[in-house]
Amino acid sequence: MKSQSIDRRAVLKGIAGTALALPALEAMGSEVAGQVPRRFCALYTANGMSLPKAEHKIDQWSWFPRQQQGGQFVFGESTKPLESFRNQLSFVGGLYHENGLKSDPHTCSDMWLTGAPLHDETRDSYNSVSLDQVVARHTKGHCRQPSLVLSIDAGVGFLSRTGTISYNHAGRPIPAENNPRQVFNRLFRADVGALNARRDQLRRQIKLVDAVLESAKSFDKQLGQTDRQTMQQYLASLDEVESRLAASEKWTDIPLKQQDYSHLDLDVSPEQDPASYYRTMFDLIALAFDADITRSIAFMLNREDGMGISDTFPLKLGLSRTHHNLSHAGDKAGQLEFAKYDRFLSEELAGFFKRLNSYQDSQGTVLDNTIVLYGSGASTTHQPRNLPTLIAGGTNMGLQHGVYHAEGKTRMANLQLSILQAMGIEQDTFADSQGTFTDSVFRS
Amino acid sequence: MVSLTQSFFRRLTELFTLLLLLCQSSALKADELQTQFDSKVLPVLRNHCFDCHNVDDRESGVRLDHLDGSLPDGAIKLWEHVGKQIESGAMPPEDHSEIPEQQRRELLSWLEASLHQARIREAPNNGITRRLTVTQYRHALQELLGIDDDFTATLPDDGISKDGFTNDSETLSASPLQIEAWFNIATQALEASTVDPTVSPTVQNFRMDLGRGINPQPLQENLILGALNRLLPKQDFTVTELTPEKSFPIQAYRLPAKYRFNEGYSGNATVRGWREYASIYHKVFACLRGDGGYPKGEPYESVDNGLLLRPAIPNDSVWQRSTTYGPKANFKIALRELPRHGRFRVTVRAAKFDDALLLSNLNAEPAEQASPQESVTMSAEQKDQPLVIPQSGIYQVDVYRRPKTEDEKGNERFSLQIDGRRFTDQLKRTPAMLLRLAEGERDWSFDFGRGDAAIEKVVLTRLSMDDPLAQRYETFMQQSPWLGVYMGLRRDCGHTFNQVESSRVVDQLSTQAFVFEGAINNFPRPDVQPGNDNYLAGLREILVHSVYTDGRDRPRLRIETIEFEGPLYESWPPQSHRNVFSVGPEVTDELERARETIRRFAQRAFRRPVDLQEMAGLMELWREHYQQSKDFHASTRYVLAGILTSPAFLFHVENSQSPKPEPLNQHELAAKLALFLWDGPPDQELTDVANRGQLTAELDKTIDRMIADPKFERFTETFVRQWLSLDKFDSVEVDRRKYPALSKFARKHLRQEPVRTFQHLVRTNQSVGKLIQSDEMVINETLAKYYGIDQPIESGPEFVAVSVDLSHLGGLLTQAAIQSGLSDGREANPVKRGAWFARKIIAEPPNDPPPNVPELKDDRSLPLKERLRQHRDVKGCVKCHEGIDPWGVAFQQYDAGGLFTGNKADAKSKLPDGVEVDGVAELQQHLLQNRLADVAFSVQKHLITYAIGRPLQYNEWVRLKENGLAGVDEDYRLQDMIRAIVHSDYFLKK
Repeated sequence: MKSQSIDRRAVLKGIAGTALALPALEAMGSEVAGQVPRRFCALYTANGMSLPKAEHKIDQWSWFPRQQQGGQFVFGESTKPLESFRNQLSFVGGLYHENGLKSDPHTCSDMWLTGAPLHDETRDSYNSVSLDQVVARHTKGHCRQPSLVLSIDAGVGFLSRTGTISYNHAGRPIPAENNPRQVFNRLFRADVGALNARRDQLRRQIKLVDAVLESAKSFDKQLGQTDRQTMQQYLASLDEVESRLAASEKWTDIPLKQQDYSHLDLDVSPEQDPASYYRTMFDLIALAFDADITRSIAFMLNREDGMGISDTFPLKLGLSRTHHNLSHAGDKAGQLEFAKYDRFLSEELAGFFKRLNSYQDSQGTVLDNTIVLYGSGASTTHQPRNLPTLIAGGTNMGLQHGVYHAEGKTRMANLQLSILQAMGIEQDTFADSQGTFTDSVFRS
Repeated sequence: MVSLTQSFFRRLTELFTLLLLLCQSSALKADELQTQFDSKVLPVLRNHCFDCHNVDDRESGVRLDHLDGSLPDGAIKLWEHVGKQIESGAMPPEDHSEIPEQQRRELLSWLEASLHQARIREAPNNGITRRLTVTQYRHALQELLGIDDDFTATLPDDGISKDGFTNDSETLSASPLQIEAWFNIATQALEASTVDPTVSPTVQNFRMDLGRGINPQPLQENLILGALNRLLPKQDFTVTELTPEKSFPIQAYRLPAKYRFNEGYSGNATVRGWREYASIYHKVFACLRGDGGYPKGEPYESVDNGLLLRPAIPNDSVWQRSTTYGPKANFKIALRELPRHGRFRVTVRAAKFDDALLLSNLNAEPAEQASPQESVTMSAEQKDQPLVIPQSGIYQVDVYRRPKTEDEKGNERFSLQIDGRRFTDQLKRTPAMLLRLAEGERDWSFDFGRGDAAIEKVVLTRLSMDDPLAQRYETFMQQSPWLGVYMGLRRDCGHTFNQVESSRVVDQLSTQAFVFEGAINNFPRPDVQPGNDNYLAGLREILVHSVYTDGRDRPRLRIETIEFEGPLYESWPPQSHRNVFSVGPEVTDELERARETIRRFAQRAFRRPVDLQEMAGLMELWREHYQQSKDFHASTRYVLAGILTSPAFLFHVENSQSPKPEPLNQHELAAKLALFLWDGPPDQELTDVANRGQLTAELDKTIDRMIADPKFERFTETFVRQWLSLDKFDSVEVDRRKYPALSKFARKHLRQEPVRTFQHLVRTNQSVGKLIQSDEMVINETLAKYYGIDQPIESGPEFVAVSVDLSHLGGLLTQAAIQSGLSDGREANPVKRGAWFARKIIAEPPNDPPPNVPELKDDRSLPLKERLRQHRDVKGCVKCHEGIDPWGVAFQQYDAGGLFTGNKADAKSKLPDGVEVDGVAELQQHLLQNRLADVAFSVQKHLITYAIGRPLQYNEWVRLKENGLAGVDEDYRLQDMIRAIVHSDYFLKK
């Protein structure tokens, strides 16, 4: 417990101060530095949002904005804290996962980012790849690590009660991290031993790829009048893999970007103070983006169906019921309290956006170069239709904001495919997409 | 009406004959054609085409200004397209000036002659390199290492060629993503197949015993397994941890004795708070979670010596249409710990139960008053008295209930027990059931839900053997239950599971052991961290079902014990380890041991001997690693990972030294044969024959062996699925209100029919005509029910060939997997069916639709025919559709569920070859009588394309069309075709 005897903030500042002032991007050469980073951040909140019944006459507390007036929508009470970001965000209604309609509603968080057919009981895979991991596969060559997977509870939970929203390309869940100090230490205070081990491992991989490449080249030379097109492609790809590994190895020698960590409170505990906990986690995400440690982050803010510590957050905030119970509430008082919890989350989200705007990329703020997808797998609990969805940032990727798109029904996977394409990832489909989301926001 | 494609081809053939007579010198001809191109063709193209089709403006993606008169192979497709556009009048478009008729005719006749020259031109025959498909790579890795684990989930799917195949050398790419995945997989697979031989293995082995009251000291605490879990009563099973007998020392794994949980359940609600447990019965559950209710009797029932299961009726697992809680009855062991790697074995001791046939749905008469020799009467008061059966035989059980009083409501469940056997049903009427009883004194008892006193008497009456009911009972008992074992995981809303091996018939009344094995990581598994403190997190499941097929009454499955063992080791170190580290410590020099280990491995991986230079490179890699690590195993695995990512392993290579055709060498031939007929690598025997240089000499013997081998089924699976585009049936969304019988379960079986049919026809070497029409079907009980075939199949879930005397069934064309797959799930679609038929069955593929053709409108207010007509009327569409749709119209008798509707009115069609047919039967006759050679050509074309991993060149295409295959007579037998292909230059030359 040494760190507690000294002033924590002083220590953090000190570490930042010793880091060499060599911005990572410059060191990585023009290929990487020439492009402004394109980032993706998925934020999931469980149990849906409060959409109070008309009879209670508290429509202003509905999560979705109210009718547009003069081309502009009116923020409701529960999203009002986000109002100052009107030009950097949009609301989208009418989204659904086709497979969500067929599945038990408890699986809505499992499939939010994957769209997998979880109703099918005889399938080989556990889930399918999530959007953040598709992004990570394309952005990992440009940053220190492919992705960051965070959740209110560590680990993966289990199928139908997931504790992570991130799944790899084989459909296996990726364990989430929830401890701010551990996340901070791993991302910003890489220990020398681990770094060296990583470097050795990469060098060995490079050596192996190099050996395979050499033998493949001499193998190719031995081929006579043979159609060698496929072999040429293999050699080129192998070359590419080698240079990617070399880039990864280079990262281990490049000092981190110099940043101010003094605002971080790494000793926060979700058991005590949900607001501080979320703030710290969001601050860590913003720092990781700013330092270009990763370009793909998924964060599960709370869990479905009364699982985990997040269910108790409304109680800790002075409301009268747990999160899951509030989401089931039909009475006026309950629905109002549920909306107040939504408002609490909006406040935290606004803090996050503010933080992202405070960091500058070579063009625009970090938020301008980050697509943030915030939402839930159900409108109110167990309703897999009209998924509450907010998209923010990414204006440098062509996103057009300030709209509430309320009409029609669209597959969530279409919107997710549009996110990929906006990021410059050439993919024709994602999950069960039937096209892109072109009606607004992504309109080109 | 004759299609354009066809007329074009026919005229070409006529021209061909003429040309043969007139002109023998193709070189001279080529010169002439070039001259003609310059003088007659180029000016026309320049005047009428180049404006829109040039290097800058590629209208519809077509550029023409770079063409010359030489017609290289790469330009033939484009020239064909140009010819069709001009001939049909589609080009130049209406708003441009027409080509004068004379010029037009000159251009077209030049083109026909030139195309012909191009077609018969001998193309350079260079060897090819083609990457293994994902499936071939999986098999190669598994067989090389001797493991069943599938590591290929992270590999992207292979592309599909125009012919529908994934093994086309041109569509098989090797992207950086794939290479990264190959490196990861190599490392994982080598780790999974090797062990530390100095440490004795840990093995988990336990048995669950089942029986009524078998556990005298059941756990007192209440167990909770969430909603709808139907836990088996705690006194009806025991769990025993075992230590398996092995010829080598092992560590027996024991489930941790104590554990604590923070998140638990109260009903379906999550509750938090730490609780401590200390019993194996909080770790290993026996339950029957699944849908409730059963049409007849109880889904499951405990008896003295086991648990009885009725067939597990599948549900749709679609929320709000059914539940997602699984089939009924659905016995499973749910438990927290199973091995994380390796193979496992589930041994089920089971029997066919000496069951009673329940009659509650049958209007049978109570037995007449009979003599004491033939009947026994019992009442509630006599329940404790022994029952004396006068004579062995089949007995009818009549249960007489006292008249119901007015306020009597509720449970009418009647249960009869005789000598530990137990039969339960709702008492709706009498007779209640039929059963077989042996002569002598029997223990007996009954209970009735409303109280035993409501039963006046139970009368057992022996039936004579010619009594229809007795015969019905005999038929019933002749059937057998099928035992299926599954592995999966529990989730709160149901399960995810997959079957372990295939189902087994259980046809003996005495208990027998049935063994099921698999690689544990090939089955759905929960991924939870060891510290997860949720009571229900990470539960795995071993499921045991009586397999459902068609819903007929059949005797119940009695399961007595279920034993699990894993990881499963027959020796230590295991065979997979010895496949990698094939040289033991008897070779004391580590460098020598490494060299020999690496050489043996590389030779198997490369499917050929390894040359000195390759070995030198590999050994250098080893030495370098070893200098740093000083770890023999790690250094060797490192090098082997390199072998598994090298092109010699990942690619099939036919190395050619000249553009002239050369014979494959023996190892190339062995590898090519294995890829063709086994969709994987050669086995040791095939490699040995190649090593001896005898493969060419023993080709026929080898083909016979390969077709008889179970691995041949991998060929039929891959080939038939891709040739016939069966993925369409897998993806079609069926309207279940219109087609309620086409459930997910039925589809799982139906999708196998084309593959099984083809496989049967090849193995029995039948004519290609049997693909068109046949009295024989290859089906199982589920398919018989779907098609409404009355005759008994009695093969359970297994596919068997049976004669079926129904003219609308038999052959490929009438199969539901095909006709439903070519619908939109709501209505039959003659365009899809016609295009498929033209492409796949008679190899007269339609052109790709022109760009910018609107999709068929999803406007339900118009009948399909009208919408199709509107679609066809779009300019530029009509010509092609005349070659497509008429084929499809003949199939209108089959609905979107793939079933024959008998509605002939819609199926009258004038086919593109001019013949008129009314429905499929007439189409079949026409094909058999007039077009069999074309069908055979199509099958051969697809088979060769698949076998050689590339599309046919034009000269090959023409040669095959003209000459067919040597060794295939006019019966066009399928096995003959495969044999002839392997013997042909298409296959043997590179």
